[in-house]
Amino acid sequence: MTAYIINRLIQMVIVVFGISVIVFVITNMLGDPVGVLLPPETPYEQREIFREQMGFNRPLIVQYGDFLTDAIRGDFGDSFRSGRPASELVLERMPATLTLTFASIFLATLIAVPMGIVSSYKRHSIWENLATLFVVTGQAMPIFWLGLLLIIVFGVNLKWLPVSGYGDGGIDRIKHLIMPAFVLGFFIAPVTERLVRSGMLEALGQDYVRTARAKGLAERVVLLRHAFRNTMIPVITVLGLQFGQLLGGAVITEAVFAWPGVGQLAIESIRGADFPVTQAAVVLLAVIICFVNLGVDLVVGVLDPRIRR
Amino acid sequence: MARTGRELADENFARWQWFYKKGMIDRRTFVKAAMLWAGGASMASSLLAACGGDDDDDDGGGGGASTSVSGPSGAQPTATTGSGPAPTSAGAAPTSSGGGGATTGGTLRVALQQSENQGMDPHMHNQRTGIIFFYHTHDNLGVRNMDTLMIEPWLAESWEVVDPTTWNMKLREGVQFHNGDEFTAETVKWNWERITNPEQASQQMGNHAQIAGVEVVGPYEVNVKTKVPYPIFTERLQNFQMIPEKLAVAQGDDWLAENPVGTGPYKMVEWKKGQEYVLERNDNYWNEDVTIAYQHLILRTIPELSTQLAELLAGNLDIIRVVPFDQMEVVSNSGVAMPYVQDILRVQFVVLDAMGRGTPDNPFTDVRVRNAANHAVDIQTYIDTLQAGGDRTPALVNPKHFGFDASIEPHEYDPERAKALLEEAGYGDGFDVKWKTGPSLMPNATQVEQAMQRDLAAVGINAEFDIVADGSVSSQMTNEGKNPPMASTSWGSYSVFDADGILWDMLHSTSIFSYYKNEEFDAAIDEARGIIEEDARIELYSTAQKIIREEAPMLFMWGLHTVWGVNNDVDWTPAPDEIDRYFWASPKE
Repeated sequence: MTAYIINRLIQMVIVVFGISVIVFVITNMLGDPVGVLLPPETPYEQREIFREQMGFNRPLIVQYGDFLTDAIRGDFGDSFRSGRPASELVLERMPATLTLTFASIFLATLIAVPMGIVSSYKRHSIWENLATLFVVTGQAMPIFWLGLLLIIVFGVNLKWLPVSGYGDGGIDRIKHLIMPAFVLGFFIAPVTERLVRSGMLEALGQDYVRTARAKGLAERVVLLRHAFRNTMIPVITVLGLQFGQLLGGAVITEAVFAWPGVGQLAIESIRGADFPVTQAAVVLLAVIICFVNLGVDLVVGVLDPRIRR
Repeated sequence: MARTGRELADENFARWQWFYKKGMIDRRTFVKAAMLWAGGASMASSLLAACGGDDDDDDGGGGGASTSVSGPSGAQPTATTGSGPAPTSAGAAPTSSGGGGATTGGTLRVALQQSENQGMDPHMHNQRTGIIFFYHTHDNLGVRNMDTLMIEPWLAESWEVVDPTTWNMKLREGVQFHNGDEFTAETVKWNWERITNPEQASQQMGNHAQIAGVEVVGPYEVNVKTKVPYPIFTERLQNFQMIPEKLAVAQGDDWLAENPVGTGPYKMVEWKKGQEYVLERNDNYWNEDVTIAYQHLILRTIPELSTQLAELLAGNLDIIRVVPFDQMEVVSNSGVAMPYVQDILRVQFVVLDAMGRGTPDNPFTDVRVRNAANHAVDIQTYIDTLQAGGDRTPALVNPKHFGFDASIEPHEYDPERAKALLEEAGYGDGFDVKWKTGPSLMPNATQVEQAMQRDLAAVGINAEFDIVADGSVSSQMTNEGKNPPMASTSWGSYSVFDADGILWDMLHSTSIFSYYKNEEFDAAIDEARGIIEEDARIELYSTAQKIIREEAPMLFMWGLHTVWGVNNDVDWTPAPDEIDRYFWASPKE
């Protein structure tokens, strides 16, 4: 197990290194930060002074070397725009993004798993049709549009939920979280539902399920303890992979609901050519995705000892 | 107030005249002084101007502002995030909260489109939302009078130009910063030295590039030296916020990036990163003429305009700056808020590469093709159906610009004529062309451009959009001559209400923005730039506009009208210089 974890950690380092190269090159291709940071009427000499001060006149490879040595120590440089450390800016937004992401995974699971089980167990029933409708709708509806729709119905017309924002903690935070988490959860739930359904269908046809039934176990136990447990492995693996997708979806959801997360920050820093913040956001998100997937693999390992070997 | 901005300007202009007669300044400098004095004055902050040129305007069409009155006086500013009861009645019994002309309690809520990641240091940003924010927490030496559009003394008491490169400035006494520090001549000196210090690397350094130094004459008097005679000096005063020097030195830049301490009408009491700023009325505000009605001001970050609109309609916000045109009726019928249309100086158009600068020998190098394109599009219909209004610009110049020639007729919508012209130019079968577009300050930009694309295709000009998502990249392409043959642009004239402000920058063959070259035209606007006599200038600009109308180096569109949404319970008007002053707002009676 230890060797497995070490092996995975080494892979992670390589992945994050690759991402750092990509994000560094791409941000530097986005445009000249001097052009963005200074008013257009700034005289040429002033521009050059500024460029030298910021170190933009050095070869890209040298800049990358500096970036990497600092980044390893967790220092992504200071934001060009605010002057504050980029990692600090990103980290203070991280809780909002993670709250949203995990809440949406939770909601998605809460919706998708029972639905998947029911639709596999009660095949060709109204329940299965409803589940299919749900899947198609979830896949077809853009996050952006669903978000606005919910805002209009529940925020503007019914006034049940706050339209946007982060809330003041506690119950207020949860109220603010419901709509964005639902929107994001709705985006991944269909995949989970399909996986649960097909996994359950397969499991229910297996010999061990027949054996369990033959033993006279309660149907609930057969379903949940025998069949569903085996279905969980692919479901959890896919949830890990979806985590990355969710962070991508969170960018849009955060914008629609004015949720103060990393996605919003990243968009603004990309538009403002604020390289350090963009780089810190992408690299730190990548690290988190790697860790989540490592965690997922470990959990799967616990569930299925075959994988550990 | 000792003297008004107008009087000061008169006095100072008399001096510039004298300098000119004595040969102390050159003609061009004198013209600049004259233009300012004539009230063709450039309007709006230097910084606003700096970011107001191109489509990449940082503002992106609006730090949408929205405000709302919530609850009774002294309402907790935390009750703002929309979960509370919808505010229906304008807040609050008057409270006697001391000085500053304060009259009521209540909370005013405003949304900004951008979040604050540029920080809290007024010298270290270049964002529109930043300008608006710092107008509330800080003060400037001079501000614009909305009636005369002249810059008037604010933290300064008066100023005069004593020799072509020296401005003497007397300062207001007894002004305190939020932390109790006093505003003095040392403050002014320190602030200018900071912003012009290359090591500081302020984004606004360029605005003060002509400042040579500041000498303290007395505790409340300074002499500001400029490197060259600098008539637009006062324009530079209205977006240059004063920060307390002792505190700044003691605490350092990192602290300043988090803590806005100024002399302004509001103080920041809480900063919820990425969410909102909570500001509280400065009850010791030095200017007793300013009545600050709301005790709390909350600026929320809501990047998505549709969400801002939803918050406005839910009654959680009172003013938003960019109401999409197709939503105006929704706002009108909501019973909660009303749309307000504000026409602005910004002109929208599509640059045609007449010079062949980006694409040599492209079809638009032929004047007939350019005119055909102008006849092919139904501009008036777009304005009527897709805009909240628009001022036709038959030769690029906005009716608001000094020198606009009203006698010039815009291109008629005449597809047949367009086809005939194309035929004549040898493009009877039409042609394909790239059209660069991207983030726009024009409402409904996408719909407008798609309508134009369709109309152009109807005569055979098949334009394919080349969408540049980033404003700064778009601007760079323009400056460096890398635009495709068609490129959507808007121009705010750096808020200079003079034909020179758009004709020279957009079309003079030596301008970095220009994709057009015509010597006769260059000569006319060069001459108009160098003289003061108004009639002669009008004449020259008329000539210039006639050339432009004939030569059609652009697809001419219109001067923009933008739409604000204001809650029915709030009495507030946007400022013509696009710097929102929320301390002007008050509950409706």
